Amino acid sequence: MKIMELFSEIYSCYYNVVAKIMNSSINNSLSKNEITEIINDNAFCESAFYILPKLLDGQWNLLKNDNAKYRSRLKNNSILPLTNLQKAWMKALLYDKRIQLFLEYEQISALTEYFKDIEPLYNATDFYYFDTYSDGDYYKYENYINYFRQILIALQKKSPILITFDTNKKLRIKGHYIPCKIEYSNKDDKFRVIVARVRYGKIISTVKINIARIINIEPSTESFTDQLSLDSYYDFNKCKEPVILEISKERNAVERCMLHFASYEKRTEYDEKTDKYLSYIYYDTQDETELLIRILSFGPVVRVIGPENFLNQIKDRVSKQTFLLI
Amino acid sequence: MAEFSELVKNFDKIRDYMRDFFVYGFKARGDFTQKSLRTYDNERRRIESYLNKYIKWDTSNKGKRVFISLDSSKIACNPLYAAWKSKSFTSNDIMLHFYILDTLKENEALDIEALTDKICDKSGVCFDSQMVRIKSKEYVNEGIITTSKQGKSLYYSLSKDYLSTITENYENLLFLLKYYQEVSPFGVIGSSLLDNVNEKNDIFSFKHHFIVHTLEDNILNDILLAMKNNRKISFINQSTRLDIISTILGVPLKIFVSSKSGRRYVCIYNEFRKRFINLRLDYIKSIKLLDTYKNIDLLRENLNKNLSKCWGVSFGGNSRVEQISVKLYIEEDKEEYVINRLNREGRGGKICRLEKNIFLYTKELFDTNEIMSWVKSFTGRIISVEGTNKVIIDKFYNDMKKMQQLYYGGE
Repeated sequence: MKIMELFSEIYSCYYNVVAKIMNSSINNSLSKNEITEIINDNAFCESAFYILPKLLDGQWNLLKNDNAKYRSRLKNNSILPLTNLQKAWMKALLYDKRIQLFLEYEQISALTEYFKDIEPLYNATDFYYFDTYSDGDYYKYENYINYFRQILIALQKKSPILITFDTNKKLRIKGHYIPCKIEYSNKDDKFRVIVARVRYGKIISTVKINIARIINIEPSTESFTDQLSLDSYYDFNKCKEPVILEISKERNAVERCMLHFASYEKRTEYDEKTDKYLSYIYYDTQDETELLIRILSFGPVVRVIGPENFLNQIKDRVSKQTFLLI
Repeated sequence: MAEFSELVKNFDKIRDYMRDFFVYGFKARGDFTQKSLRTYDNERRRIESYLNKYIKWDTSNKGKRVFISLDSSKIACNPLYAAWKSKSFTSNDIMLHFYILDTLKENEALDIEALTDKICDKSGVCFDSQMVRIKSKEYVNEGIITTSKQGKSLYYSLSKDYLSTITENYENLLFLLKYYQEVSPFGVIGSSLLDNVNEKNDIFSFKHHFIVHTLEDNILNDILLAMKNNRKISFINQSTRLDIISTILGVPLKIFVSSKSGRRYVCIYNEFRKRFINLRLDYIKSIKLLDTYKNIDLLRENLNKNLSKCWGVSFGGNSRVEQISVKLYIEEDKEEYVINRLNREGRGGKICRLEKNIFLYTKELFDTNEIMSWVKSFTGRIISVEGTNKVIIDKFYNDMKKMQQLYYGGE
């Protein structure tokens, strides 16, 4: 029985960045500025301050001076072979229900054989996801796998594809789209693809499509060569004002709220006057109803302070509830 | 005074501070009372360096508050993995790491004397062969180096298992890593694999994604090891909520995971109380593996039989199974999505249409209290709630009255 150590310097950011420096300086000497740049791009914010003196002044003795520049003392590119821990983790993935989206059956068999002497790091049955929704995607469905892979390839090539799909309002839509990101939700156990619709070589809108609702994917006749960015999509959907919650200390509400809303961008402060906490939560307006429901689930230990339209929706539900219980 | 270093020797040191900065974010310097203020300053400085992009701060009456704020649906890779990549090391560690890999790449197999000589020639540093042996042995355990015997001598070779060579379609493997590094348990391992080949996730984004739980992965690793070997465990459980530190003993059987909050629990069988209990991984401080438990299959079978009656993680009090029924008003012609919600979120509860627009949800479960948050999420549609746990049902009606007062005032 052997404990495989997750917290090890061989996976550390410093080893990784030093490997990058060594690999870049085998054939070409690097200046101090170039080395600093590699550190700043790949390590922590203050790392250059600690790594540079040790690397350049010889304490680590991995570089040699070369006409006021620095050259690696190594002869080969430094790439770490797979560790037992990494193999055990990869072996565990081979039993995941979604693995067929990524690997062909033959590839899964070949890797299983390759890792035959390795114990998986965990088994799927070790875990029980008690609140995942029951209508998750069916990953064994052949069409689903095909569509998923076609989207992956189109996304990588940034090329348009012709997608036919059903909306949640049961409308059938067909259009030319460039996949920008594949979004996965653990809670829903669903994949969605964020796509930019192209018409006459221009982006006209950005939408999200449930992969399970795709009816067909065909090659597209459209082309698009400009830069694609999702920033405007995120900005467009981001709420104008955050929801402000007043959280009381009862029933462990503060901790429950902080964990429950941990995936949101938020700011929280303690209000001494009321002895309560105020949390400002920024959200995607497309998911407003979901946030509303989640807030209601806390009952009276969380009160919505604003903004007005969000508050009115909560008040509307409370008012309907009062009417039903009279 | 010791020189400040970005790196740490002990993971637990950084774990609690990072969690507090990320999850709570409202604590000022003076609120961190567990350790000295100097410790706080050092940990804050480290975290600021690791997560510079996501660090925010403001001032309160108590002073400057530092917190981590991010929308997890926009991140390509969990930034808290930085904590796992911050292990400290010595100058000899890093030099031997690169020189051993480089030397063995050029030589098929070397004994320790030859390996040491070649490293000394290459580096110009005179390493002791014992030091090279210790590091090589460490790397044999990690799987980076393999050994073979030739006569009486042990020969060291570099492993030939690289990400790019283990399968024909390397690209598929990269897609896979970009996804699982965020979704799978121990995702940080996938992140380290991508680091090694200079790849970053540019394909996937993740909704309802709870990044803080990576900080419990060491604890999870120990528990899974115990589960694999049918071992009992004892551990320190420190509830920040109740401010109680206790030692707990049990047989670990399963990891319960909430995809709504990301929280993870270990389900143990407590022999003294003769019952199953779930305990939060983020409250667990250290784990000791004890002796083997013999009848573990029976325990697992019993646990599996009970799962359908767990709404969440509670196995209830001493009473028997409880019942709850919730009558809801749903405009079925316009609000099919609410009926869908009942079906997909109801965790096996029965849904019955009583008459037009009136639906009844019923469920048997161990702890009515656990389902009430979900019931309250239907506020605005609840006609009645009935059940065997009268205290909880009364609390629900009281809560609804409080909601009315909260938003409309009055009695």
